Amino acid sequence: MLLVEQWRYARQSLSRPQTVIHLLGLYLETCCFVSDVNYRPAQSQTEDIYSLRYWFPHVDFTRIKPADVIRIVIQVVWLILFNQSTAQVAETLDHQHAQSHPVKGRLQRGKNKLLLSLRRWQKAYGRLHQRLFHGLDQSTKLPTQISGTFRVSLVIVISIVIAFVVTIPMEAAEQAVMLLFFWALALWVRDVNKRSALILMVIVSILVSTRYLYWRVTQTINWDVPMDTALSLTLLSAELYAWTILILGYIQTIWPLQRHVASLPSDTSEWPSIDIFIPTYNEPLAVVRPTIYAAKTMDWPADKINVYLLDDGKRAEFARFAKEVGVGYIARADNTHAKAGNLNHALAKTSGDYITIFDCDHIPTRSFLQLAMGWFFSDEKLALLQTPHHFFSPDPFEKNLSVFRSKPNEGELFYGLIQDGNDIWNASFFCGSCAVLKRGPLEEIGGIAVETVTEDAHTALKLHRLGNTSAYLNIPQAAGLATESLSAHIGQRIRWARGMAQIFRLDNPFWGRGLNLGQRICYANAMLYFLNGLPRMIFVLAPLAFLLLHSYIVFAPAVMIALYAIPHIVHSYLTNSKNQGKFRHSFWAEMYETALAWYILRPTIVALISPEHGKFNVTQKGGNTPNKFFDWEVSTPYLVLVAMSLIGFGFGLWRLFTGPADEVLTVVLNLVWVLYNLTILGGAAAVAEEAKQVRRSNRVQVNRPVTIETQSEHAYAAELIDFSEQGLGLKVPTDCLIEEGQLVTVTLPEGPSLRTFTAQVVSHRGQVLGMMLQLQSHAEHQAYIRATFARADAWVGWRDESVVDRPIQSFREVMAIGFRGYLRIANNLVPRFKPFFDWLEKVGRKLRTYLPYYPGEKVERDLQA
Amino acid sequence: MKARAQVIGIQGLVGGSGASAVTAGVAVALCELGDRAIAVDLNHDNMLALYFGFDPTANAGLARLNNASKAELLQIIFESGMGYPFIPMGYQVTTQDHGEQAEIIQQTLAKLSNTSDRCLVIDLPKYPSPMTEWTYAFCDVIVNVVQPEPRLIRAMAAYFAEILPSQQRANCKSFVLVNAIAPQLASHQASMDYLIGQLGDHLAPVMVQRDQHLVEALAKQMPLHSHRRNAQATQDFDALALWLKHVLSLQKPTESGG
Repeated sequence: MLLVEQWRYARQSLSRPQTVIHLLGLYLETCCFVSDVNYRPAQSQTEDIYSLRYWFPHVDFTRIKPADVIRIVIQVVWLILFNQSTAQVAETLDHQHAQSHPVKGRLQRGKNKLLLSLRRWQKAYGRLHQRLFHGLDQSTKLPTQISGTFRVSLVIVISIVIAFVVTIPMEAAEQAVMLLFFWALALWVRDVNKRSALILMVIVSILVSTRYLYWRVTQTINWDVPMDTALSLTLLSAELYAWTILILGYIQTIWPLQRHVASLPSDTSEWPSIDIFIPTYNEPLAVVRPTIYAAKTMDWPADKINVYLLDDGKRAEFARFAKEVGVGYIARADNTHAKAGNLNHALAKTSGDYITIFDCDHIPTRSFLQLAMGWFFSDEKLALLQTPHHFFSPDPFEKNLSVFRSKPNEGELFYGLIQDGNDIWNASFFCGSCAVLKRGPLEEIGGIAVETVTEDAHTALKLHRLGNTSAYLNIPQAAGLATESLSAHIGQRIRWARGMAQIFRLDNPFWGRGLNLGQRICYANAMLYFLNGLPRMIFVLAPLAFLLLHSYIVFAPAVMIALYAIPHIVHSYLTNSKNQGKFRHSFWAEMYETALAWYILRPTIVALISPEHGKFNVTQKGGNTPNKFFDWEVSTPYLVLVAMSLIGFGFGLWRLFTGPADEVLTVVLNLVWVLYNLTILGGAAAVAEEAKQVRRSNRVQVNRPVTIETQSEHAYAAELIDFSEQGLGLKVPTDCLIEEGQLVTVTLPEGPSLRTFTAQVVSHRGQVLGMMLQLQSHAEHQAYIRATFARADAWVGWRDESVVDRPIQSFREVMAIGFRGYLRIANNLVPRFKPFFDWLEKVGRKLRTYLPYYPGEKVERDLQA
Repeated sequence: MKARAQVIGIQGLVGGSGASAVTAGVAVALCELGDRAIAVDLNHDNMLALYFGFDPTANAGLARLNNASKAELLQIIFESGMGYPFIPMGYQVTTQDHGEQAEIIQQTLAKLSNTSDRCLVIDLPKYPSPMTEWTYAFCDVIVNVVQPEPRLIRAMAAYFAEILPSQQRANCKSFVLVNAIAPQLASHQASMDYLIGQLGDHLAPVMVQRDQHLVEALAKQMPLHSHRRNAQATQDFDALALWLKHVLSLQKPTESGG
């Protein structure tokens, strides 16, 4: 009877076959997932676990379509083989049981005790670790608990074990079993939120990758055919490079220090005097102005802070402005050594105990000095404290791919993880801006380094060589403008890459005195990283060697290649996703690096060969993009690579159908590789379409209560939704009587006090009010900057960092971006075929729904529409 | 001590500082937050009634009580159009029989405050008055209202010399609230900085904005909350009420201890 009713109910909205599937699905769900129909756990999250919709978020069970069967099958396979949330679910359920059973609950708590002791052990280990590697407590004694003999023998034993694991020859089946074991191990510990889990994954990843590389070196080079030998050695060297970077990267970021703020003495007379340098060359005054205002209003005793505008452009306008505002203005006769020379010139003319440097677009918060200076009191040897570079405008990737503030940007990996990782090795380095330097040590090394175009990193290296320490404080305490176009971005990265290559040649961190091993590794990794241009190009071109030239660059059966290479790739992705996921989502690095690869290739090689060449180019900032356009010039190299890959792909298909049967697997492997390369190249091409940007100054989105008062003295509670240097956006009550053109005052809270600013309403649409500020004096400008850009918490919580990286999800996004790139190219080439491309896009979206989804993941329903 | 209602006293440090408006605002805001708050007027000019839309020259009120019986009590509790309760003082031509009258008022208030989940917001007469001593003893927290104006400095002197000590003697927390602040005016800005410097912890963290909506509400004879929910002054009263609740909840343990 119930069934009849259910049938009738379902038939109201569904066709007959659909109803059959729907009801079957429902019954299946009841049978398999809900053992006790009346039982409903209290937490909503666990409630979800019992529904099919949680496990198959992309399938609409009320309207099952034939294609959904494929989606379900793929999802089931993926859930069983790859996904980790099943383990979490089991944990939650265990926990619930523990709560309902008093005895089990006690057991659970007992386990917690064990965990606590483990954590204690971990803490003790952390202290030991700090002492071992130049800890912060300045203790130079080595730990006495572990004798030298013991350590040496430990190293020997471990080396033997590793050598054994890496070199043992195996048949395909044995290799498969071993790798499956490693894989299971990695997946098993992946969701354990413990440092030890990460270390285990790193070790497994290093073992698998090293084993792969050992196999590559010893068994896969074809020495018989000269061209094959040349090509395969080329690929091998690229892989060696990638392996080196992988391992150095693991060491660099294995244990981020995550330093907190150290307190200052309560007596402000003990606080040191500080010179603030703001170097500028050709930036417009509008960009520099807020920085000067903010630097001027930082919370520090007024007699101990001196702001200097270092103008290499020697502009009268700047001199006048500096005089009006009351900051020092320093210009010099020549412009030798660009920024470094500018800073050194000012260094000689000033005398403060510490030097703080801000790029002219980096607006510091008022709390910068109070948060940063504490460490100089607790560490006598500290010569440098760096804070992150934060950008309130989107970089070209964020702008052109519309992912601003939703995805970690390119810099986040460096400032979120790598610098913190460097810090434990006492190797966090100077990044040119938003940093405090101690005058004594800086003068000891002869001021800012001038030998290379990345003066910042080289200065830090010199400071470290003299035994000084450095610190990194991961709290955004200044914010600036990101590069506004892909070409400008590439220009900036070319300079970094060239500079790093120069340092690598002129002052190689591996040689010379004064550095500990950790510092050598961190510096080397930072420099070697920028040499990725050539290897990246090799990886993009490598599959073509087989597809076009029929050259066996990896001389081994396809099965063996798959068995060695795939685990190497999977493990490095899994481990990096766990380690870096918060700061960079999987597969995005490939896109960033591929976009740059071609451009940094030449400068780095030139710099390696003759490091004296290369000059400092100033990064363009604060500009406009009046119309959307496709940057053909910048994207030419990718387009060539795309064309070559496409030809290779065509050849591959031809080989697949006409070639010998024993080559099929090799061809398929290469085709998959080319497809992957095409996706990434598409992403790089997608960034080349420059999105429109016309607003004169960037608006920062916020959400803060403010007061708006009309001239009739009616005050309304409003919400500040965005601010820029010139204007404000407010969300006001719908019924408030404010008209365009009216003058109003806006009150912003500033600590315990209130500051008001006069503004003219320029637009009033619905609830949103746009207004232009009417700031009269420098004092007013300064107060405004202090209440907005320079608030201590202005950049805290900028992006929702709780979003975890999920490689599959990330791959889907990168795939979508790659696809978008091709559409953009096509649309710009032949605009007439736009409808066809739109149809293609629809097909692409449809295809993406077949990829597995994370249980409980939010799916945009329009994907399937 | 028996559980009793929480009592907030609002007192103007100078005449015309807007204590009655603040009393009405806070009482209504507390009602809106779901508390059983009653505004009580102890001023002889009976002006609090105006903020609830009642005639201030009406006779009914505390001063006209003959005894503190329940029947009498019900006759002096009124509700505004939106249902916010208040108790007026009652209009008087002359003030006589202070002693007897004060006693009845005391009894009435004691009766009102017998229930623990109630909150009284009392508009206190300006210091000093014959009622000062026992009203202070009756309050848990007193908010002293000032406006940024020339009399401010003298008021602050009086506050620190006499009012604060006597409020602290009566064992109630004492704060100063800045009312009708227009931060765009330089003089107000200066007053604000002066008060922040002078008062420290005694300055309420909320200030009430000068707002024409308050005047309009008065003209329309309704509480500000009924006139315009999203006016800044309304939100300031809400914030003030929230903060006062926080202050009172902090006080609770010491009360039960004593």
